[in-house]
Amino acid sequence: MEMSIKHGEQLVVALKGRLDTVTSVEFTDTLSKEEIKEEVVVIEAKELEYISSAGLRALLALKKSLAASNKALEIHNLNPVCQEVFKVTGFNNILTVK
Amino acid sequence: MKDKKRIHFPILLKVILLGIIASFIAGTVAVVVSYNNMISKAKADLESDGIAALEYANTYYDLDSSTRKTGSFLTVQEKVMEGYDLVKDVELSDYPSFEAYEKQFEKAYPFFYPKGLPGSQAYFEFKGAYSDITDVLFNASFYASQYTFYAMNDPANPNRLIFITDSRMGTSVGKNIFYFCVGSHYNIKPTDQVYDVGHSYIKGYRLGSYETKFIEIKSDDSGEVETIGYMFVAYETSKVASDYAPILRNEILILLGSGLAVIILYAVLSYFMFVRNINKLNKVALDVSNQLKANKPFKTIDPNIKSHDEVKTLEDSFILMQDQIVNYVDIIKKDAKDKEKINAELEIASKIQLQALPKAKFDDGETSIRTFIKPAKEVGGDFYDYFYLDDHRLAVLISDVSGKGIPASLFMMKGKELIKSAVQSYKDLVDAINSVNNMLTKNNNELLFITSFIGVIDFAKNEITYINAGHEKPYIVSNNKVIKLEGESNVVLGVEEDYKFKKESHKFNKGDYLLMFTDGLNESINKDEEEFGYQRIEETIKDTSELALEEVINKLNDNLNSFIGNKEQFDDITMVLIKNKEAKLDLHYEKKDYEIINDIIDKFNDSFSYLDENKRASVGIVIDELVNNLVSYEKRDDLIIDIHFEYNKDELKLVISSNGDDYDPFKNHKEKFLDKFHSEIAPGGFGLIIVKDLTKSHKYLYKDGHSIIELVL
Repeated sequence: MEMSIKHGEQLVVALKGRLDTVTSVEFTDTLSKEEIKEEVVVIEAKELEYISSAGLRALLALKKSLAASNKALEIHNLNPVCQEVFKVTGFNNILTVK
Repeated sequence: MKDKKRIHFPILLKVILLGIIASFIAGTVAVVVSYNNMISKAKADLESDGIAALEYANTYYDLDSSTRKTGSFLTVQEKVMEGYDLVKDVELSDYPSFEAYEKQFEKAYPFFYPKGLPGSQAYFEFKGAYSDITDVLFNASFYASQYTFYAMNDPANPNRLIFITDSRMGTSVGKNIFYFCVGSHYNIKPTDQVYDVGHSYIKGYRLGSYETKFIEIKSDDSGEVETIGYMFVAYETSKVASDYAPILRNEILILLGSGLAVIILYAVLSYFMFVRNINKLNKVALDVSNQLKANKPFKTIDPNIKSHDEVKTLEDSFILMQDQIVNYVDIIKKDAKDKEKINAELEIASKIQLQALPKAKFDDGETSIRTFIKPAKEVGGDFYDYFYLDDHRLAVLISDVSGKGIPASLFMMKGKELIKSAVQSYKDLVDAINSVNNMLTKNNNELLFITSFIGVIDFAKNEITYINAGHEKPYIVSNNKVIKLEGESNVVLGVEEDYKFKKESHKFNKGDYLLMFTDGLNESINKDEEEFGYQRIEETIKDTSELALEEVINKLNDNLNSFIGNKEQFDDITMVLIKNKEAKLDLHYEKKDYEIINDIIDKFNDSFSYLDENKRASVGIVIDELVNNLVSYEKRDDLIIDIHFEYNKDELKLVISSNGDDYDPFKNHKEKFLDKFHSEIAPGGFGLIIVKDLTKSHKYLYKDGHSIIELVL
């Protein structure tokens, strides 16, 4: 998985590849080291191939830690498979998916 | 064939030899003819002279009547008979020699000898008569230059004559006593023997080789006419030849001399008039042939002949021939060079053509391709091609260009490139082939055309879409059954502009293979002019689903070769076999590590790249969830995981088996966990919800110590 982080009005984290058991660890580690000043963190998932339950958990953990400092998490541009995963797991209800 | 060594025999020598032979024959004939004429004439002259002499004597002396002359003959005859009577009883043995006998005869008969009794009555009587006879003989002899003589019948022997006198003897008669002519008067035989006649000795008159003519001397003294003797003329024809011999010798010598001179002149003239020119021509011909033998650059040589005859004509032709040889040598050299160049170019063309074809073997996750091409000539008209249109669609085609050699080859290259670019550019196969057909039809003045089968295999849909432009119908072998790809046989490519091609499609499942071929295969004939035909192809390829494609090609070739025997192949034979690989992937891990998840997914994506993205993403999620569970929750460290993927007929089957505990992950998880989401739910629990959602079916079983999950997506 490749990820790129871009600071600005919003913090945009672009993901490319797979967010799964192995890569979600890397995802969480990288973001925990990042100093986040922005109010909103956007996960740009246009190039995310798929997400597994481990990835969902990593996103959920991120949402929880951002909520602690009144920050919001948005997931943008999920592909159909990922949308299906979000839908079947109900994550589309607990995460802001755009 | 071996060349016989023969002695060189120059023309000049032949000319001389021919001259010698010709003059020898002509000379001999001339000499013999003139010599014979000469001799015959001389002989005839002698004979006519003799006859003339006898006639003269008869005319002037009236020998055949009773005259004084015949009286003389009778007188002489009487005296002769007296002498004959005198000596007839003499015993020769009484005399010691013939000379002694002669002496005795002379004594007894003296009047025979003129010197004996001159002046006596008897002598004058006798001499007078004798002179009369010798006059006759001499005159006749003188008249005819012939030798004449007179003989009388022998009273003791009717077959014998008694010689009396002749023109040469004159009056010296009796010298040799009596001379007899042996034989009758018709046939006087020569003799010089002494004969014993009664008791007397007589000496035969020698006539030698003389021939004689005679007249009878007749008398009527006794009252009636009787023959009393004969007058002869004698001539020696046998001597004529020897008389003429020196003349003949001289003639021959003159002939030889003049003949030799003529021959030398003839030879010299021949040499200067034509032999010299022939020799010149001959020398030049030898030089020319030596030049040719030495294989040096050829130069024309002019024999330079001055005469105006056949040799000159020959020279002209010879020079012309040399010029043409020079010309032809140049042409041949150029031709050979051109031919060499053309052959080299043909070889290159053939190589380029073969290079233009894709590899004979191709393998990837979806397909295996094996091809076979056997051109009948160096540059053939068959071609095939295959290329991917995207990650799961493979275009395949086989074509046969009408005609052979370079034109067919060029048309083939054009057709091949056009088809490839059109099939790649147009979304729809029909549009692509319509466009190819129109481009090939334009300016196709040679009226070449291409039969072609163009198919697009979709490995995701397991289907082939194809257009058959007048080509041999290919086969699909599916589960050991042979299916012929029937359907619309469109017109061939390159003949009809704006033709609307129609496409067909057919199921092409995993495990099936497609056999495309050119008519060289089905139309190959054996010695009985029978075609190999579709039926033999079908029989060969049925029940071959389990064979590797190489083995199918070998089987087809073996059957074809044993069918055609040693009959020459007359058309290109091309076969292309394309297998829709059964999509299976088996992975084995003896490692308890999350890293195997990535490995499984990477390998799956490599092998099943033709599956659609969403499907592959779903598989990835399922693998991630289930393998993650195994690696996370199985207690044993020597965990062995086997993964099996199998794709067929739009369904992907996934089997994950391990040596872990008998645990059914689908049994205990919460169907609805969202309410309790904020509480700590069993990790992995909602992963299984995702798995269930993404799969069409799922099954767990524990068998032989293996925990097995079977899923269908």
